[in-house]
Amino acid sequence: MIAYVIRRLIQLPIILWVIYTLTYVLICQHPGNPFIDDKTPREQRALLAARYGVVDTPADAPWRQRWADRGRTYVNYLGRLVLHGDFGLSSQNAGKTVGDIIGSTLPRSMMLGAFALVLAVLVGCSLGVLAAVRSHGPVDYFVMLYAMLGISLPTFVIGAVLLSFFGFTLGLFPVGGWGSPAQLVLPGITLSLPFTAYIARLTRAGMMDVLHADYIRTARAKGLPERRVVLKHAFKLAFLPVLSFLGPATAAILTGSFVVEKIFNIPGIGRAFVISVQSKDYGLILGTVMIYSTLLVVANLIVDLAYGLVDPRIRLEGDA
Amino acid sequence: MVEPAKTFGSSLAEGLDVQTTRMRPGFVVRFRRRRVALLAFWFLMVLFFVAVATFITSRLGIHIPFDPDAQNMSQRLSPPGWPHVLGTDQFGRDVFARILNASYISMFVGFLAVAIELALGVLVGAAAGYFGGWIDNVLMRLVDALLCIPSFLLILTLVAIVSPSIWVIIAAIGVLSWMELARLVRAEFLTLREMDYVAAARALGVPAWRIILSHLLPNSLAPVLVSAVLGVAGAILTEAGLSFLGFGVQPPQASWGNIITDGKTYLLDAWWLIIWPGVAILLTTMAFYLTGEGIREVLDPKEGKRI
Repeated sequence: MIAYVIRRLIQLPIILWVIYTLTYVLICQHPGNPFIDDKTPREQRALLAARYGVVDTPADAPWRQRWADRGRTYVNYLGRLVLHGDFGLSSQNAGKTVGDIIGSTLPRSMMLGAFALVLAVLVGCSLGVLAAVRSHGPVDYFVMLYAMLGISLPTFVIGAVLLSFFGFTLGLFPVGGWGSPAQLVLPGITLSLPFTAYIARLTRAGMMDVLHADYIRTARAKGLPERRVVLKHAFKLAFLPVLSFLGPATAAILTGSFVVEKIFNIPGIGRAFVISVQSKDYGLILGTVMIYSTLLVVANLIVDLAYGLVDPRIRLEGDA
Repeated sequence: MVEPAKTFGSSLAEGLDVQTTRMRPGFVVRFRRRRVALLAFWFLMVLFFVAVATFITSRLGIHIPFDPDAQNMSQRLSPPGWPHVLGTDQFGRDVFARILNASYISMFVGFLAVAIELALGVLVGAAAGYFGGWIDNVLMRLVDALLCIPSFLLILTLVAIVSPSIWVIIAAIGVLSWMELARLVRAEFLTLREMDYVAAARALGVPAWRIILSHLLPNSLAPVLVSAVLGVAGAILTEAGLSFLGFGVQPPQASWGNIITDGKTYLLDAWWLIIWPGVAILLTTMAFYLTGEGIREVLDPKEGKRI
């Protein structure tokens, strides 16, 4: 177990470095230096030159000089990131660093995402268990229909419908913005719906497999109440597929918030990313891609470790 | 000396082909028994026909029921009724015509993106699964690294940096979503290559590409087919999401996603701008999911043992 954890921890920075480099090469499609363009404010140019040695490469410079500049920028930027945790400057917002923007927007998105994830796991697992226990009955069909709708409907449709019905027509919830817990409800539900649906399907399938296992018959035979058999013995195993889905789900919830933050006007990192892509703020793009990837890599690591803890049958590689 | 052995080998290999597919005869019969999946399948066929017909007629300049780009400011935001069955948008354009015209875009993106996804996924998965060793190691680490980037994020970045044209969208979706498929094909190949008939073919000197093409690939067709059908739905949803954020199909060309973006601005006045394209997306993706699941259930060897 310890050897496995250490190996994964060594892999982590390597994967992140590969992603950083890939993204950098991608943003080098820009003709000059990716972090400077015509619209970059003067104070940003001064800071970029002083702190990172980044200067504007003339558009007609020979390709050798352009790539040399990009290479130097890459080394300087990566060096500052590793040594100081400095994500660089936003090339379109005067006086702002990428770190400032991420620091103010990320907590909001994390809160929204965590709320949606918890909601999805709670509701999804309950529906899945319920459907499996009452399989091929009306409850089961209802849950399966709901699950089908949930994965087929894009969040922007659900979001717009919830917003107009509960926000405008009934006036039950605020129609957008950020700050109060009530403003979290509609975007949270919207973001969680596809995941609730998928988790319900996974749980139902898992429970259906497990409920016919020998050890469940044993548990029933020794006279345990049905409630205990289902919730303690069966559910523990049926939860495993859900657990391994949580890694990818974290990523999908993070990127799902692009759309949800746009609909509900939430100043989160998703909206910051979309704006940075629109304004070609490559410094901010690189920073947000790195933040998203780090979150995903760490989430996957936690899920894999939790998997080993929950299921004693799983032996992790390198765990001799 | 080599020649006769080779002929013998290939004829024996062909003799073994009897069992190369898991699609036992009766696949169609068993699929037809699943009413929901069958309904979904026929819905897709109709949709496909409508999409092709709309594409052809609109290229010929015939517009049924209306020209999707014809503006009519006096009919601005009129609710569903007659003659505009599904209402009109903020420029007085017919919503039904726009939804029809968006259908071939969605189908086009879905099928082409999945074609790219299939080509890359099968190629990488087959190479990794068949050859194993360092090839497997390098390819699978690449897959691991790519899976660590939320793909929607990268697709969005790629489309925005290059240019939001339909070809770039198709390429971006295809190039960034083959990883799961590669894993699937690799896993299938790992089990299949240990089979006796593969060892026999190899011993008889059948070249690797032939073993892969005529023995391994047909046998791993079932999961690949299912994953491709589900992949079309995924690609259509991704394109709709991109269009909604403004990075997808660019106006004036209609797409289900960008009609909804317009609708969001007129949320209080024109519910039909959100509901109808929403229903179009819902029915299409649901039909793909149900068809894919129907195929999976029919091909599942455990089918019939209903638990």
